[in-house]
Formats: sequence, structure tokens, C-alpha cells
Amino acid sequence: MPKPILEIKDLKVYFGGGGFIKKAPLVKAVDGLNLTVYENETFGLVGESGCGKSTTGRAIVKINKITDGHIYYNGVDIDTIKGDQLKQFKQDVQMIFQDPYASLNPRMTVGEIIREPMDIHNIGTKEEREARVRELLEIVGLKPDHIRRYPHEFSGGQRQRIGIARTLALNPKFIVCDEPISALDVSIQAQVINLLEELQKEMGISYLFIAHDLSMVKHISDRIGVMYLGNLVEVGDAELLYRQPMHPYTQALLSSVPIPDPKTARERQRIVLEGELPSPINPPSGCVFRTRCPKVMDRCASEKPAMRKVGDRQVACHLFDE
Amino acid sequence: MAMLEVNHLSTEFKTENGAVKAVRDVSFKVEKGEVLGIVGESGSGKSQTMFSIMGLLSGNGEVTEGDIKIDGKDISPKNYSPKDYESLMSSIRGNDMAMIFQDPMTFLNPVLKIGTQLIEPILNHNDVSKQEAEARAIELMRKVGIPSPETRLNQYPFEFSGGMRQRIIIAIALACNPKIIIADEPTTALDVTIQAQVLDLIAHLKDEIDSGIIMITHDLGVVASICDRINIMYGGKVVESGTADEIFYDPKHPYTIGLLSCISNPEEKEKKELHPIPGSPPDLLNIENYCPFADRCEKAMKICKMRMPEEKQYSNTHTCSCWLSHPLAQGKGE
Repeated sequence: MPKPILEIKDLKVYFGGGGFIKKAPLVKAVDGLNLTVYENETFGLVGESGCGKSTTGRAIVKINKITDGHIYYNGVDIDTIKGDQLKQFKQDVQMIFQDPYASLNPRMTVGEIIREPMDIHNIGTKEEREARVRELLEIVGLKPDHIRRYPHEFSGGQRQRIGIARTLALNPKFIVCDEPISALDVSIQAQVINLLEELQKEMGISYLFIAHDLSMVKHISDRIGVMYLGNLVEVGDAELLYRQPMHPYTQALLSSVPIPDPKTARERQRIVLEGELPSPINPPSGCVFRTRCPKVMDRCASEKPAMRKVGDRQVACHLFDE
Repeated sequence: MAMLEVNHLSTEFKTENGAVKAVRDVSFKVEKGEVLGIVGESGSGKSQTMFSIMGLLSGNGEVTEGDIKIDGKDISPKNYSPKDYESLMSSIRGNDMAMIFQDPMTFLNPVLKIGTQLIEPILNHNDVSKQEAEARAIELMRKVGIPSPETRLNQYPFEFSGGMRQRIIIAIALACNPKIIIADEPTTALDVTIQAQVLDLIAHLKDEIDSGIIMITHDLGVVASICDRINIMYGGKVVESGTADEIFYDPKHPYTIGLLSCISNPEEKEKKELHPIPGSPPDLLNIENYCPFADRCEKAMKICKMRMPEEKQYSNTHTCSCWLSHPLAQGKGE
């Protein structure tokens, strides 16, 4: 039985609601999310823009405040930890950002960027840190003499490698990858994906892999969760979920993915969803997907479907009620 | 006759450090009712090729060589004085040649009503009254699948979602029955379910209108689902060209093969290993005159770093420029 490293229980993250004279509307970015990631596993989180996948990732690394619910890292609630435990948590859990152009400080050299986490956490002597930086550069496939260069001297893929090296500086156990490849060219994407897979094999890191590119997510993930408007609608084994999607949204989403194969693309029947994503300020009652669902029933408007186990999978849809 | 014909087009940008050869000897044709996909990574010259054709290069850019013909009419910059060229192009852009841009949010003017923006090209290029233009605009909006066009006409861009804005841009592109439509990454900024809607629309329109469509993209999935023919660009050159089936099932150029093996196809049962292409694309500044892919190519030979390979014809539609196809290199490519 694999050990869970991260458990999310009924997570809610709301934005807004403040205001001095008039109350600003509440944006329900994540609304009741349950999720478990096991040790040495890659969990892929997919969904369209605005579904709350990045907000979930940012809540895990404590960038976004949790409105309600709990996130447990190794059984400890991350909202209440303090002192040394918090410091350890911040070493263990790291994040790789989407934009390799914006996430590196242009005024720092590569060496300084990668060394900074070790400086902050007071790890090793100056010489040890320097040696570790060189080692990390090697691990991510850059040359040790790149250490004195600045980020602008590197290409997009190389910058993403610098970001990964910085992430690895503290020997993390869990990394939130927030769209790490979507800003990169196709031939470079595969380089970064392979690097992430190698690192996992060697160091036993768990990933939460957030992306909207479904084919890459399927490639790297063990399990996948599909999000829609702040809710998880289906969770299952990556292969199985792609073969037989159960939730109508998963089915539509997968049939929309462009397949790089002209014959399949010609023969395939697409389920084209009508309309657009509703606003998370005022989500539909009951099932959030009902406004676009091709199989909508009366029940869907009144009752929010709970996540239930169907076979090896979890689905939140009234179609699978007993 | 081909809707658009480009022969030996070369474009250079003058910079402080020397000339950047963004487009190098590019030739292709687009027929009526055909979708030509131009695939390449950033810096491969795919967008600059299109900007050269439309005469929209930035100030330091210049078409140094080549002929461009639209529906038989010559529009090569070298054959006109700069002033004549400008006035010629402004009568052609938006009329014979239309463009669909990547980002629907920045293309539309936020302070003008959708109707105004849609009617403008119709009034500019046709001798019609405002009422006729408005009727045409409503018809266009219906064509691209916008519900209740009469009321939507009086709304502003912020009242439209991303997918709807992209439909408006397509409607503007169709306004004057263009001979050629150039779509630069039209679905990259959209979500997958919305992307599917827009791709369906383009595939559907392709049979209805009398235009040729050029689709610039880096997404091989999009290309496979919509394009009839594909040009693969690398380092400012077209390295391989063929029908969708030829490119996907019988690729010849090591770059095309590399590109196809570093994407994952979710339909495949077995998890295949990704084979990334090592290194990164070449710097087009002062680039040497040999195969642009040679430095990243696993099968590179001595000749590859000495001379530019010649184009070899595999079928009526399939061409590839690689030294491996040379008779003397037999067996090296295996």
C-alpha cells in the first residue's frame, strides 16, 4: 500500500469578498476539492483556464490562503504548522513555474539564483553550496561554467532547467509543477519532461503536474484528476481515464484534444461542447457542469453530485448513482 | 491558378550585430479551398514569412529576394517603389488577403463596437451603403455561429468571451471574400473545448468559401486535424513539404521525424518513450550557408556542414531537403 504524501480534504479557496463600501463578489476558485497524492507518484491535474487547477497548486505551497478545508502534508495540517516544522515543509515542498522568463530574477546570476534557497535555509558552508550549485547544473543538463551568466543569456528550455535546478536545491520530496512546459517549443518540451521523469526515478520525488496539454499529462502521470469550475469531476488511472472516460466533461475534453495523427483525426467523432465556461462568481446550482452537459437530467440542477467510487475510479456525476 | 504563389522568398532584418536571415529561399503555393499548414518552432521563420507576404515587416526588415503572386497578380515588393507598394498593399490587405491573429483579446479595438469593426473592411473595400454593409455583417456573424447577431452587433469586445471574439475575427477576415486567409496560431490562446469549436468552424467554412487558407502553428495535433498539406520550417527554410498523410506516416527529414517522436499521442496504447531533439534551434544571425538542422541532427554527415542540401521530389506533393536522400548517402539514414 503506497503511503499518501499529500492529502487535500474539502479544500475551498475563495477570492474577493472584501471591499469598504460595497462588498466585492466572491470568486469561488476552488470549491470543495478532495485529493490524495501518494509517495513517488505523479498526479496530473487537468482542466481549462479558470477551473482552479493553479489555485490548488498555489494553495499547497502556501502562496494562496485557504478559505476552508485542510491540506495535510505527511499527515500534518499545513495551515497550522509553525517554526522548525514550517521550515522543513518549505524545504520539502517546491514549485516549478510556468513562465521561465518571469520566474527568474534578471539581475541575479544563475549561480545566485540556484544558491538562494540554500542561503535562506542556511544549508552548508559557502564552499559546499558552490559545489552543490555546480552539481545541480550538471543534473539538469547545463554546463558548470554557466554559473556566472545571467538568465537573459539562455533560451526558454534552458531557463526552465535553471528553474528546476533551483527547485532541487533543497532536496524536495514534493514538487508542484504548474504548466512547466506550456511556454516551451515542442522539441524542448520533451527534453524537460524526460528530465522530470529521470529526477523522479533517481530521487523519489512526487509531482503534482498541472497542465492543460492533455497528451503530455497522460504521458507523465500515473493518475489524473479532471477539474471543472473549482470541482474535481473525475479521478482515475491515467491510461484507464483516457481509454474510457466516464464523466461527460472528461469525455468532451478528451474528444477535443487534437490528435497528431491525420487518419484518427478524420475518423474521430468530436463531442463539441456548446457554450463557454460559466463564471466562478456565480456557479450553476447543483452540478457545475450541467449548463453545458449533453446528458443533463432534472436532478442535476437541484443536487450537487458527490464523488463516488465506480470500479477503480472516482466520478462525480448523477449518471453513476445507484 | 494558385491563390497564392511564393517563389524563393528571402527576408532579412538589419540589426546592430549584423543581418538576421529570418526567411531563406522559401517557395510554396496555396490552391483554392485548400488548407496549408506551416509548422515550426519559435524562430523558424513561419510568422516572418507571412509578414513578408503581407508587407507588414517591422522597420528593419526587408524582403531581399523572391516573387509573391496573389491570384496571378504580382505583389513582390522589389517590383514597386516603396510608396506604390504601400498603397497597393493597403488595397489588398483585408480585401484579397485577410489575417486571423493569435490573440483575440488584442486584435479587436476595445472602444469600438463589434459592428463598427466588422463593417469597416466592408465599407473600405466595396462600393456599398452602410445599410448593405450592416446586413452583410449580420450575415457573416450568423455564418461563424454567433447567436442573435442583431443585438451582438451593438456590443463591445469585452462583452464577448475568447471563443466568441475569435469567431468575430474570423468574420472580419471573411468580410471581403478574400482569396487567401492567413491564420497565425488561431487557436493557441483558446481552451481545448473552445479550440475544438473554432477548428470545426474553420473546417466547415473551408468548403463554403472560395479561399485558400494558410494555418501557422506549432501544434501538430491541430495540423493533423485540419490541414491538407504541410510545410515544415526550420531555421528560416522549408525543410519538408507534403500532404498530411505523407508528413505523418512517411516523414523523410530527420527534423520532421524528430518532431513527431517528441510528441506523445494519447491514442497510443503503449507508453512510448519521448525522444527529444538535443540542443536548441539555430541563431539566425550570420547563419552559415549549410543545412540549418545539421548541428542537432543525429545523422549529420560531413557534407551537411558544408553545403545546403538540394530539394528532392518524392512524389507530386512530397519534397524534402536533406543530404541523406542523395544517392551517395544511401544507407546512412537507416
